[in-house]
Amino acid sequence: MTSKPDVKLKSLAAVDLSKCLLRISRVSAGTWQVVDAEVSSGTLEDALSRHEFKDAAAAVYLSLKETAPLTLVMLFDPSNTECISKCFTGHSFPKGAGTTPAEEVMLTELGNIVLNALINSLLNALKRSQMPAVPQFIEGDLARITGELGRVVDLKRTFRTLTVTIGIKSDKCVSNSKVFALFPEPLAQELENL
Amino acid sequence: MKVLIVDDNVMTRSMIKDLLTEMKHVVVGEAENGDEAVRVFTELKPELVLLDLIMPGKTGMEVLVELKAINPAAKVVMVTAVQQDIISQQLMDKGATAILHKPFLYEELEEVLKKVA
Repeated sequence: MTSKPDVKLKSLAAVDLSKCLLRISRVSAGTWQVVDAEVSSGTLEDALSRHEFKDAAAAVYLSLKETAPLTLVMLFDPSNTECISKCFTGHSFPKGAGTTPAEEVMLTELGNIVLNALINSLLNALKRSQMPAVPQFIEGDLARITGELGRVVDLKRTFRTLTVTIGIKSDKCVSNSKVFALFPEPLAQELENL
Repeated sequence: MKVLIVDDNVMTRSMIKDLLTEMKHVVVGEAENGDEAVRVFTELKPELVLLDLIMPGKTGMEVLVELKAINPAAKVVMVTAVQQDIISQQLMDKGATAILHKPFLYEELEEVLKKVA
């Protein structure tokens, strides 16, 4: 996987996603911020491998077609769900064996807000619009998540990938999440040329 | 004000309901999809609908058009994480009363409700 700097793509994270996280910080019990943003090239699996999978990860994803083909994924470490929940809703949910339905609903709504912030930024820059799909939730190891995303992404294709690490903290806990935006090369180049 | 909340995410419905109750409004109904929203709207005749945009099945934009066809005076505030300029304009053109972008502050919801009342 080769890395190449891409100011335009990084600015999506630095400016618009940061604004979104600032708003989440204002309405929630935690502090949310962009810790790091980097751009690389590779397949979906290359991108997801940047997340440190322990046993499994929870993922919320959205895929756009037509106007601006783009896939976005937000990954969480399930062992951090309690902290993320406290930071987002102010409370945690009763614990289950895995991610509970209530936690899934919470993570999906969080993913919906964060991933749409990137979509908004991208489509407004391109002066286009597209109604996003309903965000989907999946939990599993790298192979399972990659396989599920294979329904909406060509697993062999090389993308320009924006990877954003989001820091999440409250006075009681610290966590993080990774957001991946996979741009087909023509779309990445179009953005660069704006 | 009598309010109908339409959102496929139960957590969001619950959060909005709590805020509205705190503001002394009455949540007369909830719906988790477009068809249910149209049915409950017809049945309960709420004074205001808070309507999500992205839902399984009909989109909030399609539901907005249906609600305005049933009652052209219906007050419908879109509540959504989508903040695309073109879609926002389309929603206003189709008769949305206002758009509240997620995540929104307590004061922003309060201000929208004051304007609508």
